[in-house]
Amino acid sequence: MNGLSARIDVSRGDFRLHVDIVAAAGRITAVLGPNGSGKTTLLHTLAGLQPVDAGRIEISGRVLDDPAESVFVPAEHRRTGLVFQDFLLFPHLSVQANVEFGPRSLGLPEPARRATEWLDRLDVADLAERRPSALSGGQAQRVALARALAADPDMLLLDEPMAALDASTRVEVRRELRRHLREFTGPTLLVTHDPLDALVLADDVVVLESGRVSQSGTTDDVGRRPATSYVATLMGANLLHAIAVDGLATCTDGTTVAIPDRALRGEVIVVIRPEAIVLHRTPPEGSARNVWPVRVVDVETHLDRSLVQVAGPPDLAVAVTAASTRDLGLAPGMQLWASAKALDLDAYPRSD
Amino acid sequence: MTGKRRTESTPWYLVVPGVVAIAFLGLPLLGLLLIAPWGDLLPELTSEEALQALRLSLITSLSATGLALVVGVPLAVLMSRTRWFAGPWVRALVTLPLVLPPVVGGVALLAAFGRNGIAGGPLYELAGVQLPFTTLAVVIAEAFVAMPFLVITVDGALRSADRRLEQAAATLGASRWTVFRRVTLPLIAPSIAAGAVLAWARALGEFGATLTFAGSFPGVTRTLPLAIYAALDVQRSQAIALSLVLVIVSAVILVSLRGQFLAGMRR
Repeated sequence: MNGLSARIDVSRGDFRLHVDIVAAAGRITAVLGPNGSGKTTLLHTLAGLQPVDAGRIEISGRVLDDPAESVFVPAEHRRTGLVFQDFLLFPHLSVQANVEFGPRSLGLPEPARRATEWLDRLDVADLAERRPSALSGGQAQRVALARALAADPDMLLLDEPMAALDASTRVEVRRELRRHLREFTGPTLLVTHDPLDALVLADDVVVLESGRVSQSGTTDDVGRRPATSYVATLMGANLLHAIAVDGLATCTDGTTVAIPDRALRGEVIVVIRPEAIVLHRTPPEGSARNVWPVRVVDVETHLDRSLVQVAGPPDLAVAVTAASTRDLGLAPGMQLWASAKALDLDAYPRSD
Repeated sequence: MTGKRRTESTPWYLVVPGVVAIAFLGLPLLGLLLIAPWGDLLPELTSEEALQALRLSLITSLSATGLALVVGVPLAVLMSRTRWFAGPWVRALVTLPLVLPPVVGGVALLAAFGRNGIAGGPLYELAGVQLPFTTLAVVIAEAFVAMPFLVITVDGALRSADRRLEQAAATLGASRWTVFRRVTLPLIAPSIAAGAVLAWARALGEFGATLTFAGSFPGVTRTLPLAIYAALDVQRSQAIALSLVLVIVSAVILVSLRGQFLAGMRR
C-alpha cells in the first residue's frame, strides 16, 4: 500500500507494545493515548531508534524492520522526519544550520538553498540567523518541522506537538500546524494525549491503551462511536460545524454560537469542552453570550463526575460534578438552559 | 550566598573555627606575598635557570595536556557510551591517579617504562629507546596524573548531555561519525575546554611523579616545581619568584574555570 503499514511487537521490561497501524499517504493519523500507553516506544520503533522484537514495518513497499527477514534499517537511513515534543533543535547551531543539517548529512544538492526554501514555506525565514534559545515555542516548532521536512522524509512523525507550548499560543499554533502538515504528501503520524490535537489536526485516529490499539478509524467515526470509556471521555468534546462571520458562527442545525475570534470567516469547527458548559434551571442572566434551551437525554455518573447528554439544538455533552447533578436533580426529560462563555470555546477553520 | 537569612540561622560558635580555616588557607599565601622580592622580581624571573624551567614547564605541560586530549576524550566517550568501558574497573583505573601519591605514580611509571619495565624493557631492547630521565618522561609523568581530570570532566558532560539530540541527528540522516563530529563534540566542547585547563594546571604543578620518574636535570627534566624545590636552599628569592608565577597562573585558571562552569550550568 501507499503509506505506512506497521505490525509492531516490542517489550521493554514489563511493558509490551503490540499494535497494528496503517497510515495512508497524504493523510494525518493521530495516535491518541494516555501517558504510558506506548506512544513514545511506537515512535522510536518507527523512526528506527529501537528495533521491534517481532513484526514488520513497511513504508510504500520498502521494508524498514522485519526480524524474520533480518532487515533493520537504522534511523540514519530511514528517511523518517521526527519532530520531538520539545523540538530538540541543536542549541549550538543557528536556525539556518539546523535546517541544513539533514540535507547536508544526506548529501542532498544545494543544502543551503533547500533550508532557506523550507524556512520560507514555514514563514520563519526571518529567524534564520537566530540561535534556538532565542525562539518562542511556536517558532521553534516551525523550525523543527522545517528541519524534518528539509531532509525530504518518506514519513513524518510528530511527538506531542503541542505539549511544549503555552496554553495561550496553542490555538493559534495548532491552526498553523494544520495548514503546514496539509502540504506534506507522505503519511503523517501524530502522537498525542490531547484529543483536541486529534480532532483538529487529524483525519484518522488510532487510540492506544496500555500498549494496544483499542479503536481506530476516521476522526469523525471514532468521535461518534467511542468503543471504550477512555475514548468516550477523551473524545467527549463537542464539535459543531458552522459558518463564521464577525465572531458569530451559525451551525448546520441553525444554532448560533458566539466565538472568541472575530477575524475567523467561512467554514469552522467550534470545539466546546464538556467542562466549559454550565447548566441552569432558569434562563441565566450573566455575561455568557451563548445560552441555549436544552432537554436532558441521559445522565451518566462516574465517581464524582457526571456526563450529561442534552438535546438542543445544539446537542451537547456536558460535564458536571456529581454534587451539582444531585442539586439540580438532573434526570432525563428535564428542561434546562445551557450556557458557555465565548472565551471558553475554540474555533478552527475547516478549510484544508 | 543565597541571602543573609541562612547566615543568621547558623550557630554563632561556628564562626571561630571558620575564621581559623580562612587564616589557615590565607596566611601562607599572605606570607608568600610579604617575603616576595618585589624589587628583584624581573631579574630573578629572567635568569637563565628560571627561563629554562619556565620554558620546559610550558612545553611539557602543554604536551601532556595534548596527550591527555588525544586519548582521554575518546576514552571518556567510550566510558559514557559503551557498557564495557563504563565498568567499575575502568572507572577505578581512571580515578586512581587522582588519589595515588604522586611519588608512587613515579615508581609505578619506572616499573612500566624503566629499562627493565614491562613496556620499557622491550622498548629499550628493540628500539634502543630509554624513557626515564628524559623530557619525554616528564610529559608521561604529567599526563599520568593529569589525564583523570580531563576524562572525568568530559565523561560527566557526556552523561548529562541530552542523548536525544543525537537521536534527532540520526533521524535527519547523519551517520554516527557525523553525529559525533557535528552534535556530540560541539555540545561538550565547553567541558572539554574546562577539563583540559584542569589537566594542564595539574600537569604544570606536577612534582612527585616527575622527580621519581624523570629526575631533576636542568633544561631536561627540571620543571618549575622542581626548580623551585632546587632553588629553595641556595637561591630562596628565586624560588619565591617562581612560586609567585605558579600562584598567578592558578588564580587565572580559577577565574577562567569559574566562568566556564557557570556557562555550563546555564545551558
